[in-house]
Amino acid sequence: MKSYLLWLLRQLYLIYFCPTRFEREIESLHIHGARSRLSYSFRYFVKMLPWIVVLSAVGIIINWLCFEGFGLTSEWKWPVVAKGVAEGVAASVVLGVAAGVAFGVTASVGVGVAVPFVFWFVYFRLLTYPLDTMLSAIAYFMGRWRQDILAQAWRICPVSWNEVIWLPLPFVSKLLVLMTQRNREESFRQIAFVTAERRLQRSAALKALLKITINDLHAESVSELSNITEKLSWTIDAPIDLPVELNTSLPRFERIAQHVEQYHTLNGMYRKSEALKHAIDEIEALQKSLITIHRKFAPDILRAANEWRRLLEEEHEQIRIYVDSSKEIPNPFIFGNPVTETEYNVFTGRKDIVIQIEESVLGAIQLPMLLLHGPRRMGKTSILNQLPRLLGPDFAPAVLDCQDPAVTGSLTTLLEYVSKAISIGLLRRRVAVQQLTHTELEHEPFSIFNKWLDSVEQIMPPNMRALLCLDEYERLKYALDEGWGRKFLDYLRHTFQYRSHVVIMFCGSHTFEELGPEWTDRFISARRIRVSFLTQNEVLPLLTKPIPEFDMTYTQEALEAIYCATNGQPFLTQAVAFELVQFLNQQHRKNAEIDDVEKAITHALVSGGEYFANVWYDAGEDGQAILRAVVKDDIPPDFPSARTRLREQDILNNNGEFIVPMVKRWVKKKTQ
Amino acid sequence: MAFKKPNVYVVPHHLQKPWKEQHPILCLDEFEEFKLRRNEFTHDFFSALRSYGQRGMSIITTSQKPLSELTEQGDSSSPFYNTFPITKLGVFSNEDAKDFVNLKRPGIEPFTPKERSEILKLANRHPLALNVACFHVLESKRSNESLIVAMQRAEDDMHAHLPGWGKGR
Repeated sequence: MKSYLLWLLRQLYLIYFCPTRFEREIESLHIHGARSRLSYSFRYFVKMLPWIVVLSAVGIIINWLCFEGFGLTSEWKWPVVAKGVAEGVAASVVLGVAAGVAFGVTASVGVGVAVPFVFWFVYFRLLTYPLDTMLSAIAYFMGRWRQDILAQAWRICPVSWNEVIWLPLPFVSKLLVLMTQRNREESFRQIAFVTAERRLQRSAALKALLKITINDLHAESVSELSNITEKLSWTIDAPIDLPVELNTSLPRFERIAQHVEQYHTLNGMYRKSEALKHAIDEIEALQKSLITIHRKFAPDILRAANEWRRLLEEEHEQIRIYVDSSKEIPNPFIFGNPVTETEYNVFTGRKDIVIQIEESVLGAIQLPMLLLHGPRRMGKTSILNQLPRLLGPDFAPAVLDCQDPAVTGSLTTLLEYVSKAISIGLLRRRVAVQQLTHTELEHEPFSIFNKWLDSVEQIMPPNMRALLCLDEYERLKYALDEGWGRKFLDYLRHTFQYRSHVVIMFCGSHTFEELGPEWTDRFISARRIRVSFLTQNEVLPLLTKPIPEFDMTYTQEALEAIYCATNGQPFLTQAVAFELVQFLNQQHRKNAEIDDVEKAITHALVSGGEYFANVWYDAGEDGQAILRAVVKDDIPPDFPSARTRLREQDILNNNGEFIVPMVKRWVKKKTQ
Repeated sequence: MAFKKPNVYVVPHHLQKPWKEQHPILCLDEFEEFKLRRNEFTHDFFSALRSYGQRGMSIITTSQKPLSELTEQGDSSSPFYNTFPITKLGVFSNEDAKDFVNLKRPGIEPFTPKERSEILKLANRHPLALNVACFHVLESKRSNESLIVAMQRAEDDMHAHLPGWGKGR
């Protein structure tokens, strides 16, 4: 009996306070228990019947008491009721007619207002809302008063036990935020609970989450900023979907925190200052986006961003004093990857190459094919990267890296890649063309590509030329080996030579003769442009003023020593300059002397080891035998083709001597 | 882990957009393993990696030998390895070694001056030896054993890890 009563009470609680949970429980019982929905519903109704009867009886008694209280009749007999109803109806009709127009409008308005009012008041539980608010406030102040009873306080809060609170309940989000200070995990659990089970109070959960995030973003010092990434790690699997403004801002805050973390890790003052500068740039971008975004929580996030910026700028101001007084030299030199378009400061010379390209193309009646060739690490790809800047607006360079797997994948992927490269190249010149898709090129690819090129040439301004640069073109050999490469080369040969707006430039370390008849048969008429050493006049500005803030100085001997050791070989020049800056920074000096250059060369011989290894391998066995002999001042063996190759690769000069002293030093060490 | 051609093509193209804002760094530890799996990691793979490197992705490899000895020389196009500057890793500097021993570790009692001195002496700035020595000193403290025993264990461990350990000292 007791368990039945408890069950009945629980049912009543669920029906009134948690209807969706009640619904779920009924559904789940239905799925796992009863045979059919109808039979289960009937059984449930029978089980609830006594409770329904009791409730009805209580209702009738309350009614009766009310009527008694107002002195109305208490004769509850059916004939009397029927009579009453009949009399009521009759009286209503009579009264209605009698009152007529006089009361009609007033009554209609009264009913029109009263009925919805009662409905809203009852359905939306407005009657109990003040009580809910009071309980919520009590719970919050209890939690504030004593944090050790926060769990109990939360149980008092109506949101934890009442699902049907339509109006926003104050203090709920504050209570949830308060809980994070005591028990973060429990707080997130309750936020997840509110989100899933208390849909009407979901906004409170969201507000709490935002407040927690803002609190986590708060920092008193720059060193605290770097810990933010860890503090915000919970947002990755937040218990509720975060608002858009927060979702877009958090990755930026994290990036800034990472810059700050890097700032703390770095040793050099210049690099530290750079890291802070990046952080400030990032926060500025974030502020701009938050100012323009019209979202509810954007101002709160913006306040946090403003605070971050203030801390960062204060720190940057302090560090700048150290940077100015420290002896550290910024190191802009790059050896390894080619110089990108944005790093143009460390790209020097090559005006002769640009002039040759321009002269070959401009004014030509029939556009030629070009071959930009030269030894490895001579800066060919860097030249290609700089072409958009160096060539005028009438050229739209499009670089295709033939080492990209798209080139050797299939004819379709290759043509798709070519189309993409041309589109990107043209877009830099504000000519928008839609690139071809893989699907479009699946059938009759050459025909489709030709039509596309026709349309591209029509869109291009009359004076504009697209310069399609096939970097590392030797890699197309794989396409030849696969069989379909020949068709592609034939297509290049036959189609592009008649195009008036597209020029092809192959770029590699080999000439067509070196690659064999597959190439010479097709492209023998290509105009060659050779890339070789930088001149002394080209090297000097690179070494002395690569970027405006570069404040290292050289003695005249030091400058000459660098040029002599490298002979203007771009890779080695950058490598020695890089090592020289590193060495001087270790020494806290800014003036490079000849001894420092020697140290830098020694380091560069190690750090640039893979370049020398490549030279050694490319020489082949015969070439290596020649190099061994030359370095020992012996008479080199008679291998004419190897000797020619070494000359073409700028390793030996016409007299059979090493052109670059650093290469000679490396070979000497290798062969010892 | 094996890359087929389409994956090599698709994955980095998928990642290209973020490259504009962020700087991806691919770290390949124990590069020698590639050499042992030449059938899976073909010239195409390295060629593709080089191409992504040229496009803005940084690649950091660690190996005992230079990359030119670990990858095939390949075809007439530029080899994978020739864009890599070499940094030779040696033992810690004196300052770094001291910092390592002096580092405050949460929940761990700091080493005494005597312990620090013995650890530094045994490790001779070698990172692994520093780790091993610190480990044995902490273990010996837990089991109430002497510092001499800890150092002896560290020495034995180092001989097991690096057979030539201690020669020439």
